[in-house]
Parts: sequence; C-alpha cells; structure tokens
Amino acid sequence: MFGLPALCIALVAEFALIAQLVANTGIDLSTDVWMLAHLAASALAGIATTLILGKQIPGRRWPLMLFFAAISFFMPFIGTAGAWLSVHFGAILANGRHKENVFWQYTSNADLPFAAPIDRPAAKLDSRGFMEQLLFDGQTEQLYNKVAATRHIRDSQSAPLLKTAIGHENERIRLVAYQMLDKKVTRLNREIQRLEADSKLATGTGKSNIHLQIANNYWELLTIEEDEPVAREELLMKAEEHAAKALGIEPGNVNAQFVLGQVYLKQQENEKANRAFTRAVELGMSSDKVLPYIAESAFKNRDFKLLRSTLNAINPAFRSYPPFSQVIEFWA
Amino acid sequence: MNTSPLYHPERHANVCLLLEGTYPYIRGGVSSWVKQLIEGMPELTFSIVFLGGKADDYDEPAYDIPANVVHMETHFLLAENDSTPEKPKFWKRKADKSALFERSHQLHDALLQTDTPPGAEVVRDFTTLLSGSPALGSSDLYHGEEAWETIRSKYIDAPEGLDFNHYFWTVRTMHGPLFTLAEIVKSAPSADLYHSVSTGYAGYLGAMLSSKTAKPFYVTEHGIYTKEREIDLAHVDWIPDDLDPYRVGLDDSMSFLRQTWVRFFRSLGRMTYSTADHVYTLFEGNRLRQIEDGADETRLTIIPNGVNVQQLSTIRRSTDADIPPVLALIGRIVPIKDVKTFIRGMRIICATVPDAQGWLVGPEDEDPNYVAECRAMVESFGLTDSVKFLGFQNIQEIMPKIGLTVLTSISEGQPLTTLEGFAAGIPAVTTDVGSCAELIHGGSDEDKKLGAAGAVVPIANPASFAEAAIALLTDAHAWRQASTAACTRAETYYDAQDMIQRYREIYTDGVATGSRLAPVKHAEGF
Repeated sequence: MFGLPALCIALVAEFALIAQLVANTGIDLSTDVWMLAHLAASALAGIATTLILGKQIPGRRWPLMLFFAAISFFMPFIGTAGAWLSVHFGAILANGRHKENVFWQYTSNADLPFAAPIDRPAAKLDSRGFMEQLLFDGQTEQLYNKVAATRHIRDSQSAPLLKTAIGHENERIRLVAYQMLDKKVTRLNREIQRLEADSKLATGTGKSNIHLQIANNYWELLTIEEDEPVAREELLMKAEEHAAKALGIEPGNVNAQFVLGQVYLKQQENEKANRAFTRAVELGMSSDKVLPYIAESAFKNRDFKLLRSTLNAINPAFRSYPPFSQVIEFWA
Repeated sequence: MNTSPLYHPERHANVCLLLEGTYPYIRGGVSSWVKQLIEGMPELTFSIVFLGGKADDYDEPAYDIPANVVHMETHFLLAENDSTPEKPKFWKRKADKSALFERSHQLHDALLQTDTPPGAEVVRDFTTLLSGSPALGSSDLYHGEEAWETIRSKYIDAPEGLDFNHYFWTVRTMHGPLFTLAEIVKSAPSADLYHSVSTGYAGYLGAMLSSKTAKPFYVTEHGIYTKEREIDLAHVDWIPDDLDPYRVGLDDSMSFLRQTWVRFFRSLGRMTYSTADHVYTLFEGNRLRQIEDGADETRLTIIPNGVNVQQLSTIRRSTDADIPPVLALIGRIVPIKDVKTFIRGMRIICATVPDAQGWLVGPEDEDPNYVAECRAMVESFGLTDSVKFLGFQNIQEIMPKIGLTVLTSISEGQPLTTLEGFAAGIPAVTTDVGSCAELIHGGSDEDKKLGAAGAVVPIANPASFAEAAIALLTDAHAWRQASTAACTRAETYYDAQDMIQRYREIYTDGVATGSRLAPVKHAEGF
C-alpha cells in the first residue's frame, strides 16, 4: 500500500532535483540543501523499493534497503528507476527459470520431513547419484545390474529409481524396472487383501492393528504411485480411512494417530496434521520422531513462529545430525 | 505315460513343431501364429512336442487340433523325478561314467568360451552324453558319486563365500529338465524336419533332435527367449543373493548364482543358434539382438507376421460410419501387457469422453491374481460401467464394435492383434516396444509414405496413452486417415498368405532334404 506511492514521490523528487542541475528552474538551492534533499529522496526510494520487491527477494531487509538507497544516491533518478525495473523483471525471469528441469535438481535430498534419526535404519545403499546415472550414463550393462540390485533398498528409495528406469531407452533396463515395480505393487496389494480378510475375524486391539497395517500398506503403495494423481488421491483416501478405523476401534493407537498425521500432511490438511501429530505425542510417541513432522506442518501452514519453536524443541543431538542440521540452521 | 490327447508316436510327420509353454495349451500371439501355420498348409503333416512347466498348470488344449496334426506329445520339465539309481556291474559303471563325466567337463569348459559360437560337435557330444548308450541319466546327477565330486570341484573354483548348499541345489535344479529332453530325444518323434518356435528348452531340444537324426532344424523367435529369461532371473527371489554388508552403493555385479542361471540359458540359446540350419524372426530389432546373442548373421532372415486380410477386410466399416468410442486391449490379462496402465488411461479418457468404453478382450486364466488386482483397480476408480472384462472373444465379432485397438505392453514382438485391427480398418495406439513403432509408422521408406496407422506412446505412461487415444477418437478426419493407412499397410506387408507361402517354401525344401537323409548313428561313449 505504502510502497508504490512512496516510490512515485521519490522519483518525482529525484526528477525535480536533476532538472534543477541541468536547467534553470528558478528555485535557488544551495549545494547542501540539494544534497540533503537527494539523500532523503534516495532513502525514501530505497525503503519503497524494498517494500515493493521484498517478497521476491529472500534474505534480510536491512542490507537490501541500504543497497537500493545507495544505488539511488549514486545514480540519481536512473538508479531508482533502474533498480526497481531490473529487480522486478529479473525476479520474474529467475522465477520461471527455477521451474525448469535442471541437472542439479536430480541430486535431490529427501523431502521434508526427514526420518528422525532415532528410527532410521542404517541405509545400506543410497539412491542419490544413481538417478543421474540413469539419466545420463551410457553404461547400460552396469545400469541394468544396478537397477536389478535396487531390490535390496527400501521401497521409498527404489520406487523413484525404478520409475525413472522404466523410461530408459534400453529395453532390458525398462523391462527389469517394470517387473520389479510391478512385483512390489502386487506384493502390497496381496498383503492388503489378506489383511482385509483377517480384519473381518479380528476384534479389539488386534483389529485396530490390522487396520493400521492396511493403512501402512496403502502408504507404502503411495511411494510407488505418487505421481499418478488419481491413484494418489485414492491411496491417500484409503490410508486415511483405515487409520481412522484403527483409531475408531482403539483411540489410543498411537501409531495410527501418527499415520493419520502423515496422510493429512500429504493431503495439505496441515492443521489436521498438526493436531494428529500433537495427539501422537500426547499418547506417548517419542517427540524426537514426531517434532520434525509438526515442524513440517507448521512450515506448510506458514506458521513460522511455531516452526521455529518446534525446531528449537528438538533434542540437540538430533539437531546436529545432517542433513537435518541444515534445516535447523536455516529455519531455527 | 504321455497325457497328450493325440499321442501316436508311430506316425511320421513332415514337420515336427517344438513348442514351449504355448500352442495348443496357452492362448496368445505365438499360439495363433502356430495355428495359422498348421491350418495354412493342409498338404503337410505336423507333429507337436509340447514342453510345459508343471502338469497341474495345464488343463485341456485351448485350441482344436487341426486334422493335419498326426501326433502330439506333452512333457513337463518340472515333473517330480522319481528315478532310482541304475545298478550296472560295478567295474563297468565306474569306467563308463568316468569317461562321460570327463567329456562333460570338457564340454562345459567349451561353453564358457563365449567369444566364438559353440561348434556343432559340442551339441552332438552333449546329445550323445545325455541320450547315447551309455548315457548320463538323472540318477547319475542325483545319486552318483561322480556328480557329487564334479559339483564339489566346481564349487571350489566358485567365488569365496558362496553357500555350498545353494550352489549344490542350483546345479541339480538347473540340469534336471535336460534329462527330460534327453528322454524325448531317445524316442525322437519321426519327422522330415524340426522347427522350434523359441530357443530355450524347446530350441535346445531341436538342436539335440537335429544332431541325433541329422534332419534339418529351423528356429523362429517371436520374442527373444534368452533376454526374457535373463530379465526374470535378474530379480526373482528364489535365487539367493550373497550380499556384502560392507559394500556401499548399488552393486553393479550380478550374484554368482544369478550369473550361473543366466549363463545356462545363454548357452542353450547359443547351442540352438549354432545348430539351426536357419533362424527366423519377425523384425529387425530382434534380428540384431539374435546376432548379439551369437546367431550367425548369414543364417538369419526376417519373416513378418501376417493376418487373414481377405477375411478381416469384410468387416471394415463404411467411411461415413460413426466411430465407436470403444478401445479394446486384445490379449492375455497378464502383467507384461501392463493392463493397469490401460485402466489408468481409461480413467483420464472417460473424464474427457464420458461415453468411452474400454474392453479387455482375452483369456484371464493365466494369472488370476493379476486379474483380481485389475478388477479391484477398475472398481476403485469407479470405472465398472466403462471398463469391461470380456474374456476370450471371436475377433470377427469384436472388431466391428470398436474404434481403436490398444496395446499398453511392456514388451512385444510383432503383435498379431494390432495387425488384425489394421486389416479390419481399426487404427491402434501402442507402446513403443518391439516392432510396434514399425507397424504404426511403417518400416521401409515406401511403407512410411502410407502414413501413421495410429499412435505410439511411451510405456507405463497413462497420460500419453489417453491423450493419443482421445486425439484419434475425437477427430474423425485423423481417424479415417489412420484407418486408411492401416488397411493399406496390412494388405501390402502383413498378409498371412505371404507369410504362409514363405514358410511353405522353407518346409518344402526342408522336407525334401530331410526325407533324403538317414538318421546318423552316433559314436557310443567317449
């Protein structure tokens, strides 16, 4: 609201001051007064530009404001207009560029939240790097064997690799990737069918745990079919349904509460997710495990105060554990 | 006791077809091709040797056996072996078997030399080893001291840390079916020539039969058997892995036992290629792969599939007729057809073309669990009114009711159903596998000028498949252009009469050669 009128006032003032220098406007200004007026107009331009463009530029506001004011001061009028135009259009261009698929994006870290270190099994193998090989490496024989070897790593890690491998130009790689992915889906579906049959006979805690297992299997299927919008929605709905059933039978089922929170998080129901995770902590789940998820729900909800306080509440031993430490460094 | 409904081993046939897991018990593209071939040449007599896995997996034949099939025998490679050790005189046994095992060592070593194809003498000597007199029998492998010593000595040469138990059972399981093949060779069905429709066990059986009888032997490969086996073996769970817990990163070397299995099937393939008088396949991609696998380039020929164009052209619809928004996936409901991608694609298509229908036309008995998953998927997507499982149907009745034939397969050779659709004037949307791109866009420059007979999409990509299908179904002009190209392409390049005529010439030459040759009597022992 304030930014644009202030920038206009600063530009008009700067224009008048420049005019005073190059043409006789009939106003008699001493050098000191002219400099003071220019300083004030530059400061106003710096503040106004920062207010207008601040959202497009990450980082602290102070240095930015000084930077714009300095440009305006040392390049009267042109600096003010030029800074605004260049940053504005530059940000638009840069924003578009970041949406392209670029090489470095394939070397991605896992999405937030990272698995809490306390529950993380020792990873035998890591998918990072192999994705790049699949996309750019021409050694098909080695790639083929490596794709086959992904059966030794967790589904959440191997699924994106196998999906990438399905699009590989080499038929053997494509086929082995497809068959392995299909085998995983088949295994999980059969397990769900078996558990659904079991749930009809079970009662009480047993029944609640069976529903929890079904929800977990749907959650695992999601890691494989996540980029399929229809399947994703369907699987999330099923996982939610069974986690809710588990809680309906036994409201104290802490793991079901946690799975429900994860599902809500994926469904962008961030407040519901927050409530489910908070309830999981109340029911006795380790806060080391749950707090990163609460932090993620706060982040997605744009509640940065809660995000900071949640991150600060995490056990210092885990906070220093990379790559979690990088999140802490940036956000806490 | 052979369970075949047409077991007449005393009858002589012009052509003996060696079929593994296909006609007449399993429906599919290869089976239809075999049926075409037999029915297309009523002047020749055929016998069939069918090789299956377990007897329980096969019911009654899925096809009526034509009158020119004079004999059929069925054999199951995974049958329980209840052989008991022979008891020859102890001094003779020791001497005979030692020589045989010694020769077996040498032949196995020869197979390890992969730079050059194994010579005809390797197959001949293996044949003599397994079916001569004296021969190495299953009881020698299962109960013989020499076999134990051989396995033990080979194990010592294997990589350190390999579990002996796993190695021992791998060797036994791997070699078991070869003794069944040897039994077939001992009472070889009488024929002028042998024709195997794959490599693998059927191909190796052909190589042994040809070696024993000196009759011509041909191989036709629709899919590449060795490649398909290798891909299965790369991820099956029944082969134990020797994981090194201290190794970091994805391992790019296959475990020793997996390699052993892959090498076994490659060896069967190489021996088949080196013994065959000629090897045929359907398209260039396969031919290149066969050369890579050790086939002799000079003995390779492409003979494409063909369909009954004359018969199917009678059911073409008129040019101004409406295009039914019906997509038919015609084929077995099995994972390799990636039916799930079809179902996912149908969900997208139905959102744009609400009255669209997806028909799954094909047998559902091969993988009931997969069928159940597909049905559950249809239900969960709310597509029960749009996606129908029709089971096996008569093509002549289905084609007039559909607007597109669809293939979402992960692997194909040269799909007959697509060609049948072409002959009936139905364009196709297929995945980019096998020779599908060649069928849709044309192979030669001349063929390409006919235009696209549909669309080719990437595998496992429901969105692309749906987009291509919608584009064809909603644009009558594009559909008619594709239909015209499809008809002309089928008439020009894929007429069954041409295909049958080429095999007729091959068989006629082979029969003439085969009937002149007397069986070769092999040297006994080594």
